[in-house]
Amino acid sequence: MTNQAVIPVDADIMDLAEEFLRKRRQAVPRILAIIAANDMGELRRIGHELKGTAGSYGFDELSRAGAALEEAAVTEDAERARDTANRIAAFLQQVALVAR
Amino acid sequence: MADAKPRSAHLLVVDDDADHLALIERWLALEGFSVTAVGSGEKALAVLESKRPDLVITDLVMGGIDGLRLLREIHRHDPVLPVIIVSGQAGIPEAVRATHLGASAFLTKPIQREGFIAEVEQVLADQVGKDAHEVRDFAPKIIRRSQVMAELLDRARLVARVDTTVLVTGETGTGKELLAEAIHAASGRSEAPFVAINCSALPEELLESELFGHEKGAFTGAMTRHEGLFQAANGGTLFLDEIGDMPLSLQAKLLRVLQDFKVRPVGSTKAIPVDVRIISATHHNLEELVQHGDFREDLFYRLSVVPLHMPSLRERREDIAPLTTHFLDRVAARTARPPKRFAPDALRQLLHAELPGNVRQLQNVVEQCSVLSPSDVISPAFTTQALHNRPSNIPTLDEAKQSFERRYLISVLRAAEGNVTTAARMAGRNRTEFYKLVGRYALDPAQFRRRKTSKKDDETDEETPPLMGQQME
Repeated sequence: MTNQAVIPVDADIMDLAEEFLRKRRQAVPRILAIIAANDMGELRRIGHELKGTAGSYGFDELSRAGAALEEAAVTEDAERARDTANRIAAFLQQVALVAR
Repeated sequence: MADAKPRSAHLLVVDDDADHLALIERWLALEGFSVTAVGSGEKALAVLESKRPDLVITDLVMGGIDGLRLLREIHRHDPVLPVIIVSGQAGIPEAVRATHLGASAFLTKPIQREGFIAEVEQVLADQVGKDAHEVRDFAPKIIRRSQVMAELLDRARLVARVDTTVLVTGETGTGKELLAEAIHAASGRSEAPFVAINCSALPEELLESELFGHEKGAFTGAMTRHEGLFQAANGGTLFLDEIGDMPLSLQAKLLRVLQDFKVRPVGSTKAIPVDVRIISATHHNLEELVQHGDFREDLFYRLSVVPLHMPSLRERREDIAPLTTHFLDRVAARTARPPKRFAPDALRQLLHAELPGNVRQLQNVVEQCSVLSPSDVISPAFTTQALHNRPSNIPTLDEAKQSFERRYLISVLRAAEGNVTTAARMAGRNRTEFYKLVGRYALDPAQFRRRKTSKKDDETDEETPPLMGQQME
């Protein structure tokens, strides 16, 4: 993931996009807890949802991370899941939105 | 561009992912649509109770009532309300199933704003644009004047466009196949074949290989590979007539095909994907058959996504006159003579007749009168006779052919005095073929030999017709 993620977003959905990212930041601890509890079913669901919804918002990197989370859950690869969750956390810290 | 938007359209959006729901709702609202957004299938059904939207957009995977069940529930009450399904899964089976259940479009998340809006507008445009000229062009072969038929055909016309599974119910002779053909002709599949099969006409094993095909050597007599009607109808419509008479074991196989749209020919290990719309028909009350365990409930629900009921001729008496004219015109065209017409009293008889055999019986009566009447105006004597000659059971074409064939063979054998070689020559068949025919009807040529002492036997042999189907070896 890049250091500086500046992502253009349609001005007319800017508030929704920001709200979406805020909720994802809040969800990071929960994702880590789910991985720690080895609840792969729930992790898969979260990854799957992130893949679709982040993608529709135009956050392609986040969408790919969601897909990786889903895959890690399917293959029960806790280490990969943790790595991915950390990448997601880092991305959410760096990301900045610009209106287009 | 904003001018072209159908701003009056009201859309219902369903998704249990609040963020995705909010995004879609915003996109649509920005296009000028009026949008109701709900977070579950249950809430969607509640909204639908009070207001009919112009389009429903639903997520596929949801807790509780999911997208497919919502689609089914919606179309049970309103078969023409368009539904777009959005899924996180790009799986082909889901998409195929959704299309067969009548989804107007199937989109995969993530979705692109422009593509999504274009899809929504397309579905709405399809809904509006086609109406006007289709009303007149739909089902030209179905003669009607009655309100009950107008309503039925309206519904059928709209259903034609949605690629959904249809069950046509109605008494024998009401024209269920004509309706199925009309739906096919008005559908997106009209360029592909319409294939019809009567499920009650064939024994179980034959029906199975007819439907699903068989491999060479799959059973005794399977000399070559046979494709099967599902494959023959690929891309088009398969019409399963008299579905209520399908044996239970075959019902299970049919259900499997409807679940994954793959057929497995008899004796083959390979499953072949097929894209076929199923229209089935029955004169039975399928719900009753389900209750008695004669028809699978799961199959019933798959087949009756949209039920259409063909009214009996008694329920549409105002159609008898135009139907009569139509059949008279047809006889005239066939015989290249000006059409005859019914005397007022004769027509009145037809208008009030019982006609349990429905349109098919009316057609038989009209044709019989038209052919028999020496005058251009058909007198009531002919209608009286034709109506009374017709008990409630009209034989099927196959039964009629068999009955004719049997009587014909008897008369030929009698004329040839039981000499098979002579009889075969008279019938224009070789000896072997003629023996087979005679065997099929369990006739014994020896019975027709003229013996000087028992002349009377020959005259009375028709009294004891051997049962059909008892084959002589």
